[in-house]
Amino acid sequence: MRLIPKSPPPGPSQEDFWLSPVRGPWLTTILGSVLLVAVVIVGATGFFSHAAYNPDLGQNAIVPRDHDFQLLVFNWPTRPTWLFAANQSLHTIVGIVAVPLLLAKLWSVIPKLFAWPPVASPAKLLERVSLLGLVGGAIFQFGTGIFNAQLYYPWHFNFVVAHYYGAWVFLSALFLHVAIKLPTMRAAIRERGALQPLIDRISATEAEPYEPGGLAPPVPEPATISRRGVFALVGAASAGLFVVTAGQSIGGPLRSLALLAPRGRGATFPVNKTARLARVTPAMVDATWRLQLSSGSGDGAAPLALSRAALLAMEQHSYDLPIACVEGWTTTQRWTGVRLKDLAAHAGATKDMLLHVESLQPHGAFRQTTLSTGQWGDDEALLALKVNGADLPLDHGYPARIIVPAMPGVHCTKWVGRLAFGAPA
Amino acid sequence: MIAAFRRHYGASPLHLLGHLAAFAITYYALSELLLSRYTHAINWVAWFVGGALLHDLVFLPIYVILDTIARLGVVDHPLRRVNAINHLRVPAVMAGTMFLVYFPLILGDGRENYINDAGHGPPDYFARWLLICAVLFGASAAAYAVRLRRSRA
Repeated sequence: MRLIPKSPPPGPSQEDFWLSPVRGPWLTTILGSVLLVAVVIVGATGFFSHAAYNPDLGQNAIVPRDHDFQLLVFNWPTRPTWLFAANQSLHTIVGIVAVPLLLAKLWSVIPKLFAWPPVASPAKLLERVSLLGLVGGAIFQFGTGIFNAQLYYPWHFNFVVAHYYGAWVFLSALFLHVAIKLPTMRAAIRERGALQPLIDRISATEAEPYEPGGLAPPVPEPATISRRGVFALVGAASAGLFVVTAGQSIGGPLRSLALLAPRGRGATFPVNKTARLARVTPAMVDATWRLQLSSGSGDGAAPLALSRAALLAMEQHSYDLPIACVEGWTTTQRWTGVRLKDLAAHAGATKDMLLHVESLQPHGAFRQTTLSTGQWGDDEALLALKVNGADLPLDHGYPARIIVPAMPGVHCTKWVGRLAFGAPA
Repeated sequence: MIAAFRRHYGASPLHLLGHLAAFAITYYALSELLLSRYTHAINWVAWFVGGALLHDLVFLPIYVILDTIARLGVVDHPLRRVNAINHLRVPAVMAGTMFLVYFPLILGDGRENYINDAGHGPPDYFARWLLICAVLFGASAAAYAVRLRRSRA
């Protein structure tokens, strides 16, 4: 007795249910190859972003340190100063622009979902399970990333943790998939050429040869779009997304076109977390505010308490530095303040120490952060007191905030209350 | 022996080894993720599996059906000099993918978070998207009109 009938039921499991003449191994190969390039860029910049948070230092890790191999962590550099901004811009722009490609790729292989019999062998069963990781992983990674950039959290898990481990699930399934499909891809390009099928007009567009269990339809309809038309359609959708998105990262004239970007057009540079949300009140930062500055394990001398006037009396430096958010937007402003290395000398800190920064903000994952020696030791690493020549606005971290070249925006701590130089834990 | 393996398994031993390696990485990632105090495990699984099901069984069939309706409605004859269907597809796909990517902003779903985060309300993204739709469909209609004229000349 067979549990599964040999012939498929009526509907999408019948091969002649699928009619599009452009669907076939060549189209899927080219769509998949372009998508692969995009996913490699998004994946690599994603892991670089993870490294940029220095999760091995202090309590920087959001993905808990003792729970994680920290495989791809290295000492994130401070130069070039736009490194983090460029990394996040690539991550978010390429990710968003790749959405039409992902949809087209999934459309091109949809008959495989309904292939009959559903499970022909143990090998096919394993492939189906790994394809759940691939398709589920792709949609999960793109979806959660895009929602996060819009501050939309309709789920019950931590975005950073789920997006990070989701990447492992997705990318392991992806590399397996590419390895398995490589012979099919090479055959498709060998038989039809990499670009040759793009020449055909609509009227000359014919289906790829039918093979049982393949992607090409047995009984194709007349074409309503050419193969180059498919790529033009996907390209137009990607280009449209680029235009309405990229300006929030690239700036210049594109900024005024970033109509749908979360932090696109706008007069002043964006705030991420207002003082009100962080529960920092004007009373906490009035004239009685003092910066607690210490060095060593803490059982030595009492910390120095520096007023804002005392900090302004120290040597001031101004630098044009970008500040960039993981969500993809970035902006370059002129910051003025005291070099962190001058404050280190003032506190008597040695070059091998880490810098632990605490905010007045009472709660939140980013109320504290730990900077590497390279980060606080950079010539342009500042405790900023002013931006563009004026005192910092409260929402931008008055009375003092950290600005370090190429450091993630949320590590540029606002409303700084304490700077503690100390030995690595 | 390899032949016997192939017959029973359905592919080469390399296929099996590759899957076992990928599943090991997946198992590691899932064990870290789902046991973490940051994750509601059932909710995560629902989102992961739900996303794939929603795309494959709801989203894709809906746009394929809409495309079929449009094709039947437009009735492009093979001998017609200028086909209309792609003048509909291009702006619809462009505006549609923009909506798909930015629907939380367009529909105002993250509005409260946005105000808390940015210190001011979001701009009217819905109006902007409508404006983009108008430009895209308008430009496509104009291009179609020009092509029709040229084909008559």
